[in-house]
Amino acid sequence: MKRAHRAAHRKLWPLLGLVVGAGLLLALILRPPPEGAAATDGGFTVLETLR
Amino acid sequence: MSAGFQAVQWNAAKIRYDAILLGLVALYIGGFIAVAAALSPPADVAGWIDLRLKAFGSCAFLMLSAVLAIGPLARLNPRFLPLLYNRRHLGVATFLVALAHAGFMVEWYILESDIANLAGELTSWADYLNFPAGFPFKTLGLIALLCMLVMAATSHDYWLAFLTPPLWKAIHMGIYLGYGAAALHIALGAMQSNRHPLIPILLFALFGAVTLLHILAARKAAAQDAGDAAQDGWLQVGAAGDIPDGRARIVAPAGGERIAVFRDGNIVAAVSNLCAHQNGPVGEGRVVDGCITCPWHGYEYRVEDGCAPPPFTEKLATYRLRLRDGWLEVQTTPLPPGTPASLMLP
Repeated sequence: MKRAHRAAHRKLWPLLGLVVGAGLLLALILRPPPEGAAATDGGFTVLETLR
Repeated sequence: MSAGFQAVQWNAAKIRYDAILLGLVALYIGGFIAVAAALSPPADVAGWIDLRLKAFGSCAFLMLSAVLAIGPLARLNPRFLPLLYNRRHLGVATFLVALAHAGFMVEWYILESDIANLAGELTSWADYLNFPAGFPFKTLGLIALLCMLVMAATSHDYWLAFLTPPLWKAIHMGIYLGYGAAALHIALGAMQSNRHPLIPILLFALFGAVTLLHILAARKAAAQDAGDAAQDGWLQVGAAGDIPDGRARIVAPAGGERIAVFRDGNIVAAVSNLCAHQNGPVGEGRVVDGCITCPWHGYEYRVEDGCAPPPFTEKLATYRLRLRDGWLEVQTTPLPPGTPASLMLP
């Protein structure tokens, strides 16, 4: 790898880790509750809300 | 190395590597389907397709994580260099497994007579704001697949020579984007519809480990790249005797490319640290039978002039060396590739 590739690599990975890591974390935290839990709250399932 | 075009330069090491790779892929996919089907037998054809989707999809992500871990592992510890030798075959195999995963998805839509809605799903722009559960995660999978397609299609040495190693490497760094898209594809797809705790655990562990390895390798490279100030165009290497026989000391002028200074008995020679094949770090290789051997793919260059032995034609830029008060110094301006510039030690 040339110096320019190494410099780009050095900047890219912390940024990628941060952006994708935040996306993964939010996707985990904000995911809808399991089907059973949703069914008791409002009378319809998560899948139905998605449709 | 090759003096002419060959589709694949098969040798015993590559055959062994590919056989192990195919065996592991077959074992994972076969094992996944067998165990999952035993635990919860699919009720119909769509169920079986879904099982294959999961098996091939998870296999592709595991393989992509492995592909991306090999580079930094080899930079952090030379023991991993044998894995790097045939990494492109692993990359192409990863693309094929991911392509099969996409194919099963299309098969599922055809079976459900819902194929017309697939394009609609990807272009329902309002859904892109429906994060996380309603997000059209297939778009992210498509981005990852397209990145892998570009890598696989240009993986051959023909494209490497045609595009030149610096441009080829820049294009292939696009796989980092593909990996991020693949991780989010799983997080917004499988992780939303399936509550099994193994999905987030494996996803976070794999993505975290690959990211950490790249950051550690980049940090190590940054320390090596800091470079030393040259005086009147000459950079101090150190005492010639301190360079292990058959090995190199890698130096870098501030802001410049790395230079590998090899010692072969009482001969010292300085060459560009960039292998002419794939810009691999030749300075981390060793001298074998009078030839500097790149640790990545075994490309060879004569110590005295940086030329590959006939019939091969690759050449490395060389650098002038001098001894000053017992210290070896290298001129930071490269000579034209293949220029004899070795120095005989007294």
